[in-house]
Amino acid sequence: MSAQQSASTAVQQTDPLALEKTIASSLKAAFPTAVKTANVVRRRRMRIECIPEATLDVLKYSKNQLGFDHLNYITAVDWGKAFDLVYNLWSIQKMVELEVKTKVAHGEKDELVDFPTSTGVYQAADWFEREVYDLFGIRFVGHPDMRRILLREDWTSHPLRKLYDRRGYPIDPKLGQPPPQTWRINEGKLSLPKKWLEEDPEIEENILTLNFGPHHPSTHGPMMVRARLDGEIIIDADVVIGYLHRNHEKLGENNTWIQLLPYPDRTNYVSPINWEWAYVMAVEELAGVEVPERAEYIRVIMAELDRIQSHLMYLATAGDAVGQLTGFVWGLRDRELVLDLNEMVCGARMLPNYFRFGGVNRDLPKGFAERTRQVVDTVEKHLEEFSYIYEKNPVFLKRFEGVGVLSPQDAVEWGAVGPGLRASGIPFDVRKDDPYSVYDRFDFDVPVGKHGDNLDRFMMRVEEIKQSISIVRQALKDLPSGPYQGKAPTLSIPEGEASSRVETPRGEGSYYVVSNGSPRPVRMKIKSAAFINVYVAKRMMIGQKLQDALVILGTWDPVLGEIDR
Amino acid sequence: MSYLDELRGVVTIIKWGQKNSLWPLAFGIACCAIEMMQTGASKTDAERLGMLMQRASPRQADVMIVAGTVTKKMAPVVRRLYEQMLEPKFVVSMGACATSGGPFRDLYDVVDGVDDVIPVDVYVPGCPPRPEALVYGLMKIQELIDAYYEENQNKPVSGKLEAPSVKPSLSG
Repeated sequence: MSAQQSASTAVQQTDPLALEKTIASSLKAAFPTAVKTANVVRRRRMRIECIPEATLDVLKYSKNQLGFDHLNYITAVDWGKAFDLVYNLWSIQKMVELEVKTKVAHGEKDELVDFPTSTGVYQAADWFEREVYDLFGIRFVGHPDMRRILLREDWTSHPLRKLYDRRGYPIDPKLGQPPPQTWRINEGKLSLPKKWLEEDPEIEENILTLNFGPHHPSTHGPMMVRARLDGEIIIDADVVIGYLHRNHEKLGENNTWIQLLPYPDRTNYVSPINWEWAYVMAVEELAGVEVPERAEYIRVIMAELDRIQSHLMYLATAGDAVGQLTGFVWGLRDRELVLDLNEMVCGARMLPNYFRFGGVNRDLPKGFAERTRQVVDTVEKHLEEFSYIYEKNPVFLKRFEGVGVLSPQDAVEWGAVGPGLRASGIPFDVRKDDPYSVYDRFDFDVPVGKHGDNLDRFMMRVEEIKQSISIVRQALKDLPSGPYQGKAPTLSIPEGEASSRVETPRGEGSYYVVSNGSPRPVRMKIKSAAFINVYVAKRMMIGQKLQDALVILGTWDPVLGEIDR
Repeated sequence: MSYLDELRGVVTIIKWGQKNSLWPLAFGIACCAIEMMQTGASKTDAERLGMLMQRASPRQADVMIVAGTVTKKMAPVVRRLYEQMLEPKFVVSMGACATSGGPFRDLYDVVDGVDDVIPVDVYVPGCPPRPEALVYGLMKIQELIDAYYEENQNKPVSGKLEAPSVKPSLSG
């Protein structure tokens, strides 16, 4: 929505942006010199710019006085001479988003830039800051463990800076370092966390460090966990990710907007359609594209089917994690039904590439509605069968009930999103709290857990499948006729920046895109839900028994494509 | 006379067994891994053809299915796993990424094809390949196993069987 539109609606009746304006003005009042601008972008979204020295104070004030308790992400945008350092905060009580931006100057060469850490304010900043350090070379002073997180540790460059091309070579060879070119067995050895190196050697004697991964059947992909064991108890854990870092963000800067359409599928290959939606929604906001009503309904149907198949995949892998192979086969069997629907709609089974700016690729085929109704009926019937091998099975309950309890305070502080956060009793669902598309027209519940244990996180998925089935039925009933594709730009996207929020099966996913009016984005940041959920899982493993650690990790449903991007 | 000649009957049985019970390394990296799982699940059920009894350990596996994009961080691991597998071993490169880098070609952390790291026997195209395509690729491996034993049948006894050669500049 443009500024004019929002201003004109504000004049009419009661001001819908009253809360946002109060927050923006109170920030401006608290920091009259430090906060340069404070704008309301649209409903539930504000953006402020402040000077670098005051950033930490602004974050502290936002958290303690204004209730922004959830850190969504930290990222940077390279403008050649300086970085825009972006902190994205969210308030679960007020349901508003705040973007704090600050400028950090950097030299021509690829040299590290220092900036104070915000881990003292938000604990979730830990991994986000490591990621920014890894890809941009901003060193956060005071961070407890400033190591590379995604790239191999023998990298010397920071490839998301603009002075590197897409292959990681400096455009001017004098200014930067080339990437490593070899892959011998012992290359890229991992370093230990700083805390482990400083440990007392006497304690060291009784501790076993156990590695599992990156090739391990229970880590859901190439991920490595290094556990410090005292007997059977994990006293500290380090999760190594980045084995599937496919450079989606650099790719975003090197392709045109429309060329990027197939890539969100591959960001999270278990729930591709929700991620397509996240990307398409961000670009639509930037370009001000209107989406026809029929297209919105088609999108809802496809996204909810996508959620069903993604959660069925979770039901399958949850069985796999505790040796319940029947569940594994059953989950994949039901998932096939939804994949067949994908194939019916767009020709591809798994990665459909179905959404377009302003609509969808093609209309729903003949017979789709009947077939979909049959499929959701079948899935609903099969959920009953699943309950006999899962939540009504005493052997399964032993591993899930009361194990891996996450308190609501920790869940928020560590930045958890999605079913895991809701299992801890916090009813935060983007579809309800920040409704996008036509979700406000459907009648559905947000399931919330009581205990925050493994079983609650498991049951969230089962309940969400039931809710999704209900949404699909309602949407099929109300499906309007009309065009399925609106008017949309092909090449040039207006200057500006936008971010989308979508409730993906693993939590809130978002794309933060910055355009300077050229056919290619200046920056495309993917906010991954699984990334921060794995961080939460890592914190949760500490104090647990070794055999429970992988089950806990599994209940967060990690998908490595989304974690590493 | 070759030792294999003396043991011709045994070799026939080994060949028959190996060909019809391929044990791939359960080695999912990215999107293709999901299709690989789906290949082993009920609809396609590659196990009824004796070809997808996935093993978690490279020491028990005959075939490595590289299912996904190999990054520079992952490449040393792939290489190590390959070298831990016992002879005779075969490699299937599943999907566009493992074959050539696919949609992620020419990016800073992506290896442009797993054949830069380990030798590949069969390439399965697709992004990701359908389960049927993977089954076809594994049937090609069965043909290769036939050829492998025929080729080595009359070789003189010289210690171990020859390993496939690797690009010298990249070997570890």
